[in-house]
Order: sequence, then C-alpha cells, then structure tokens
Amino acid sequence: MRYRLRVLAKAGPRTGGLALLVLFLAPWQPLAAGKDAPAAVRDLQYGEVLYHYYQQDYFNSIVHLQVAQAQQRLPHHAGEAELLLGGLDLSYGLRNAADRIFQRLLNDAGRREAVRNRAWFYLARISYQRGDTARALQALGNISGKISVATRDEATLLHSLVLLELGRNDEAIEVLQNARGSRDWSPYLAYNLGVALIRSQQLQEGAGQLDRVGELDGRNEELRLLRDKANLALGFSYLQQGEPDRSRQALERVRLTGPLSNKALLGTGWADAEAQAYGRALVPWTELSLRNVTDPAVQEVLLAIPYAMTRMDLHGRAVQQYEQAISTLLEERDHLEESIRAIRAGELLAALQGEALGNGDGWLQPLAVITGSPALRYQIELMAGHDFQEAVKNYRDLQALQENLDQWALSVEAYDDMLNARKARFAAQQPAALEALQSDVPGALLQRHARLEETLVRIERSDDPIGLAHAREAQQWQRLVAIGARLDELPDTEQVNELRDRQRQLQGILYWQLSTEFKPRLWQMKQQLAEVDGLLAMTRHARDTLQQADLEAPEDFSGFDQRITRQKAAIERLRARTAQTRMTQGEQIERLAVDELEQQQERIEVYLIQARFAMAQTYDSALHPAATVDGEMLP
Amino acid sequence: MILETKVRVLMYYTLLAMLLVSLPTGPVLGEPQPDAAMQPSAASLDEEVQALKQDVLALNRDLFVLEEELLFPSSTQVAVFVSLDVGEFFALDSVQLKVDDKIVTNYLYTSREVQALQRGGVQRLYMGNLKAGEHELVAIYTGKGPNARDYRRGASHVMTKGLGPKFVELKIVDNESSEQPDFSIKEWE
Repeated sequence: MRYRLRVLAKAGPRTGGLALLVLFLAPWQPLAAGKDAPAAVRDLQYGEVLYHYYQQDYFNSIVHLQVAQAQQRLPHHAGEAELLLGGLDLSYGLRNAADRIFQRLLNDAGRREAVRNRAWFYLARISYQRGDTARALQALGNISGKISVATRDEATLLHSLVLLELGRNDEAIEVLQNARGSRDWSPYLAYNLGVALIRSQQLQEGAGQLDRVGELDGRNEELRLLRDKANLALGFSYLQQGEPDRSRQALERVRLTGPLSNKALLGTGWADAEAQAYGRALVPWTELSLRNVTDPAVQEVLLAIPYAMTRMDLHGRAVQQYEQAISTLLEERDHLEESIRAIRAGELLAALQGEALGNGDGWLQPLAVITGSPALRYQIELMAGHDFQEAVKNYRDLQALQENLDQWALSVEAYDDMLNARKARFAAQQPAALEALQSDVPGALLQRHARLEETLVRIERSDDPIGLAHAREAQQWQRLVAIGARLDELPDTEQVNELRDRQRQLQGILYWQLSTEFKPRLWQMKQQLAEVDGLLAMTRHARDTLQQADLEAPEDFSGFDQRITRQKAAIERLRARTAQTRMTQGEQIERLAVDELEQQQERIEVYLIQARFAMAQTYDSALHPAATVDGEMLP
Repeated sequence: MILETKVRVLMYYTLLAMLLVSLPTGPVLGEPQPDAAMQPSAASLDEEVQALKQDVLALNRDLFVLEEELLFPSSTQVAVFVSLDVGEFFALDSVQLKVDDKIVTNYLYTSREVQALQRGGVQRLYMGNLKAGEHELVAIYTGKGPNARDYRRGASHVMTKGLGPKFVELKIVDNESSEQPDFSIKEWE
C-alpha cells in the first residue's frame, strides 16, 4: 500500500480514484478560432489583410492592417478592422494588446451589439487563458442580445470550461443543456456535457452523452479525435463503474492507429482483466507492448502482461516477461539519460532552429526527426505539456522575428542607395525645372488665349462671316475689295462695267460661301478654344506641382534621411533584444524538457522496483502455490 | 476483493500515466494551466515576448509606410490586386500581368493562397510606378476551367493614371448563366 499512496500523492490534492478519472476527463477545447464570416470586402486593403489571415499568417495580417489604418485606407471597415485586429493579436499570442483593444471597443458606446458581444467573448477568453476565471465569468455574463451563431456557440463552450474548472459542475450542466449548438459545435458541447455529468456523479446520463459523441461520423480529423476521446473517457468511466463489457465496447471504437490508440489498448486489456478474462487481455496488451516504449502506456503494459500471466498461473512465462520488462525499462532509463545529456548539449534547440517557420502558426507540428538526435526521441511526450508548447511557440516566433529583422536590415541599406539615386535625379533635372518656372511662357499663352476669346465674341456679336475666313479666303476677299476700289476709280465704260459686274459676282460668291460656313466654323473655333483652355489648366497645374517639388523636395529628402537613420537604429536595438530573449527562451525550453524527462526517469525507477518485487513474488507463487492464493503483487 | 484492489492499484498507475501524457487538445483556448501557475520567470518572459512582438510589428508598420512613400510616391503609384469570387468554374494556377506590353509579374499560386482568395481575401499582385496618362493593362490567367480542362484567358483594360495613387482590381467571377468564369478589371479611386 505504501507504493499506492506514493503514486496517488504525486497526483496532487485531488487523489481519489474518481478524482483521477475526473482529471482524465478533460473538457474539449476547440482548435478552430472564430468562424464568423466576414462582410464583403469594400476596401481592397481590408481584403489584403484577410488574404494573410486566411492563410493563418497572423504576423503579416497584423502588419498590413496596421499599415492600412495608418494610411487611412479602411474607410468602410474601420469598426470591423479593430475587432479583427484584436482577434489577430490574440491568435498571435498578444493577449495584453488584444485585451486593450477589446476594452477600447467596449468603452465606445456607439458600437453595435454584435460587436460588443464579440468583444466580451474575446475578453472572457483572454481572462481564461490568464487563469482569471472570475473575470472570464464576468465578461461572459455581459453577453446579451444580438450575437452571431458562431460566437454564441464558442461562448457557451468557454462558459462550460470555466465552470468545470471552478468545479461548478451543475452550473456547467445547466449552461450546456440550455445550449442550442450549431452543426459545427454540437459535438463539442455534447462532449463537455458528458464530462460535466460524470464529474457531478450523474454517471449514467454522462455515459449516454459520451456514447452519442462516440458514435459520431468523423467528417474531419478533429471530429474523429473527439470521437476517440469520448470513447476513451466512456470506456474508463464504465471501468470505474465496474462494467467491463460496456467499457470494452466503448474502447474498441477508438481507432487503432489514432493518437489515443495506446491508451485504448491498455484500457481494453484492463476491461478484460476486470472480467477476469486474462487470456483475452493479453491480446490488446501484446499488441501494445510492440509499440514505441517511450509512451508511458507501453511501459505500463510491460508490467500488466506478466501480471495477467501470473493470474493464469503461467508463472514461468510471467518471470520471463518480468525479466524482459526490466531489461527494456533499464534500456529506456539509459535512453532518457542520453536524451537529457543531448538536450543539455543544445541539440534540442539546434533541431528547433532547423525547422521551417510560419508566421504565427504551425508551431505545434512535430519536428521532423532528420537529425536522429536523442534530444528529439521524446518530442511527442514533451509537446503534450502546455508550458513546453508555449515555450516552443515563443521560441519559434522569436526566430521568425529575428529573420524578419535581418531582412529589414538588408532592405534599409538599399533604401539609402535609392534615396541617393532620387537625390541625383532631382539635382540633374532641377536647373531645367527652375528655368521653366522662371520663364513666363504660360502667362503669355494665357494672354493670347484671352485675346482670341475676345475676337471670337466680337465676330459672333457682329455676325461677321469674314472674321472666320481662312487665310487664303481672307486674302481672296481683300484682293476682291481692292479690285472693287480700283474699278470704282475708273470711268464708266462698257468694259469697266463688265469687270465691275464680274468683281461683284465673285465677291458675292465668296461672301455666300463664308456665310454658309460661319456657324460650323464658329462652333469649331469655340471647341478649339475650350481644348486650349483645358491644356492651359494642365500647364498651370504642372507648374504648380513643379513649384511645390522645387520647394518641398529638399525637405522631403531630409525627412527620409532622418526616418531611415531612425529605423536603422530601431532595427539594431530590436535585433539585440530578440537575440537575448530567444536565448532566455531556449534555456527555459531546455529546463522544461529536462524536468519532464527526469520525471519519466523517476517513474521508470518505480516500475523497476515494482517489476523486481513482482518477479520475486511470482517465483514464490510458483514454489509455494498454496500459500499465495491471494497473489498479492504489490507491497 | 484483493484482486479488485490489485487491478485498481494498477489502474491508478495507468490513469496517472495518462495524466502525465495529457491528451492533445487545441491551442486556441490554452490548456487549463493558467499563467498564474507558471513560474514567475516564465510569466515575465512571456510578457517580454509579447512586448517584443508588438515592437517588431510597429517597426514593420513604419518600415512598410516608409518603403511605400520612398519607392512608390503617390503621384506615380499603381497597385494591382487579385480577387476571386467563388471559383467554382475556375481553379486558378497563375496570373501574368503586362503593363504597356511589358511583363511586370508572373505569379504562381499555392492551394493555400487560392483558398484564401476563395474565402474573400484579396492579393496584392503588383506595385509599381507609372506616369500620369493612359496605360494598357493585360492580365493572362491560367488554371483549370469547367470540366477540369486547361484554361487560359486574358483580360485587358486601358486605365488613366492621374496624380493620386491608382488601385486596380483583377476580378475573377463565376458566371452562373454561362457556367464559365468571367475576368474583368476594375479601377478603384
């Protein structure tokens, strides 16, 4: 019994058998972030933010959003953008910044109810992540009225998690039973309801809930995992209730290749053992014993197999199995030692550095084991720890920041060259521009345009077709007028009179032609003058722009100079800070990893003591069968 | 009874072992361990990482604004975006963009990028400088059309560049009546 007490003591304050089961029955926490569909894109830059967000590239999404806000290019999405930024900050691990944004949104009384509710939900989530369950509950209590279906379901799920964490199981049940979950969220709500019912000792109802989740069609991997988890929880719940057959049925529904399969195989064996079907228990246990021995379930089964053999009076085989178990556990202990040494030598961090990085996602993916380093042998076990996951996420994010800063450091160097090139081009074009500015060509052109306009008005008023005659026509008209004047001076002879008739006839024809053309020509002239007017306006504008460029460019250049210098310094400061923080984060990762592996070593030591003791007892049982009917295996 | 005790004792090991290797769950809400339970150094380290990330984000914002002002002044700036509505009749592979008969970009899409476009994201395909006046844009799209056939289509547009920045959207829209994709080019003010 001493050993049992030690084991239970390690489990913390809640040490009863049921408490362990209850701890094992962890409520479900969804992988997906908010699934509210965004409104149609009305600003291109907002669409660009979404483009990065939908690729889970939170870093670039935040940067583009902040740039668009700074450039005031989100006139149609200002409110949504703020809410989105809060969500993005949260996804990127910036809980403090997200908290401030949601507080700000809530302080603005003009916000729509749906936006306010979403802000309250996010605040609740941030508080829950920080462990501030009271504030989380308070925020959730503020949600009321209009709310999107997705937010409502997420809020219900979060509410149940907070209540379960506080041990307020009955309230969690009430919240979950009143929920109207959508198709996407129903399985998760049902699963948590099952967990809550079992925790509040309503075993049968809880089992019924989990049973329903356990029979789901897994349409995606997350749902399949949820189904496995429900069946596993259900199986162990039945086992705890002393119902091995139902336990086995539930456990056999867990996928044999899924991440929970080892635990299910172990449990199936225990269900058989509980029913005293030790031979049948050996089937799943033998299968499990062939799997990777780094998994504690596999280590456990190394002792369970000879235990079953002892119960079947197969003492000789049991002893062999114990010997093999001891040998395997010793080997495993050495492996752990080797891994701890490798981690301390920096091999784990080296492997983390070699990984391709995303910007704010993908940090939970296992490392590709290409180095064969013993530091990576227990990565799955290590990644199961929340603190370790967070530390690795931070470490990888810091690496991405470092790469980002390195790239900017290169780009900013090029900006100097570009600025110099612009300065040189400006200097080359400046004299010609100044000359253009100093000359008064536009003024002269304007005067000419004004004179032409006056002439046209005069011609139109006097209805004078001669005024719009072309150069040749005007010349012909003047010649005819001059001929008329000369003919007037000559005596009236028959010949002269004929010439006068001829002159009048030609002048009349010309006048008639010009009169016919007068209206169209007047319209054409007005059109041409209007075009000239437009060209003159453009000239004025170009001149104004040039004048501005002349005055402002030197100042702009010096502004750019100062900004580039300032940003260069900022990049260098941040590079140094990132390197330092990353080193500290790396040390923390190594510490967490070594602590975890040392705990595993301790557990193996316990298994070794237990195996040696049980083996001795098995020898004893074989030699004195009558005296060991009870077959007590443990001290 | 003794047998029961033994089985349970071993079960406790089992359950404990499972607790030590907790089940994989989602990262979004975090595991039940709150920040308060972390070591003080870990908590303060997390605060520093948050502060650092924010400072680097702010630096990126300032540098992007500086870059745009320096390299693409508003008087000559032209930005071309790509959007995709539904995408049932067209699976986008690539876009080639020509400005005034000169190829300015060739872009090959990953499936992740296409999905982001289908969900309503808008991609900035090109950013450059053009003088005021008329310019011809030609976009050539390749991908899989209806019935998964290879598909190559072009769209052209003459735009007038004024004194302010010019934004252009290359739109790919499903045409339900013809069951074909439509390609159009829209100027934004």
